Amino acid sequence: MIQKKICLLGAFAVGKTSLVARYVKSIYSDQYLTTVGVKVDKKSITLNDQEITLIVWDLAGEDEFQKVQMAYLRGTSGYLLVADGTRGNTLETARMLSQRTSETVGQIPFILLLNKVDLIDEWEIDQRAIEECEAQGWTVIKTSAMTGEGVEESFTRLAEMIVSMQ
Amino acid sequence: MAELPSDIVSYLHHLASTQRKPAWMRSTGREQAAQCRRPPDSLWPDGPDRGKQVGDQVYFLEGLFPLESERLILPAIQTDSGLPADLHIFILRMAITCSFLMLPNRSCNRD
Ligand SMILES: Nc1nc2c(ncn2[C@@H]2O[C@H](COP(=O)(O)OP(=O)(O)OP(=O)(O)O)[C@@H](O)[C@H]2O)c(=O)[nH]1
Ligand SMILES: [Mg+2]
Repeated sequence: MIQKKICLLGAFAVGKTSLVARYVKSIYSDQYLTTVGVKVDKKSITLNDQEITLIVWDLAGEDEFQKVQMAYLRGTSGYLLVADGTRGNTLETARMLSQRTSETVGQIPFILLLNKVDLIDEWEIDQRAIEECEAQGWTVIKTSAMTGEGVEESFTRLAEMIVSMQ
Repeated sequence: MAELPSDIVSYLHHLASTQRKPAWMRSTGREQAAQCRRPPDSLWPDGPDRGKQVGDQVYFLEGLFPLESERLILPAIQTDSGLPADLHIFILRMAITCSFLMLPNRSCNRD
């Protein structure tokens, strides 16, 4: 059995916990309960006839009072970097976290998720900003924990990137 | 830091073992579970079995071993089972064992 640890990182309230709940339990709630510390879940998937168990660490979001603790990233094989399309500054936080992560754990696979695509009319993150990220070689996926759009694809793509690194 | 007086040490010892009911596991240098104590409300649902790989049994330990430093402290870890807990993993100098200790932390148990 292969087990791989992955983390969700991003600013507060971008939808990390909601994305995990959608992916692992197929549920969604409007309620916002901020994560304290970290919540760990797991889910098994099959990739090319091989079973992989993803150990998913949903970290508390970064805000002005609390930084994401890099110790939680120990042993992670990859991560989902989450921003909220409706809040442009969450993309800045994501960039900073990606920088700090690579300084701590080195270059490991990650995907930038632009969440809340169900609210695309209210987005502050525009096509130009997305193209800038892609030009840096980042994989970018638009997601909605609310409708489920892009969620399964994101976790599967990350798992594929991790497996292909080996 | 000055040594704590012995009566304070024993008070803290009592407090930790009665109030926070630590769960602990000791593993061998090959990362296999050797001994453990698991209070009913701790984070891992069953097991662990002696001699099995730690990360296979207690899934949130996946990737944490081998340690890079003498100790690793990960506060406020929650899973679907049990109380949130602070995870302390440390290498004991006396032997090639690596221990971890979980201190249930009710202060971050919300909903
Ligand atoms: N419209 C919409 N709302 C969402 C979506 N994902 C999450 N939300 C809402 O955004 C709020 C924050 O979601 P969480 O999943 O708790 O965010 P988080 O990133 O885990 O937050 P922290 O734990 O505080 O860092 C909640 O009210 C969610 O219901 C989405 O895709 N679309
Ligand atoms: Mg959260």
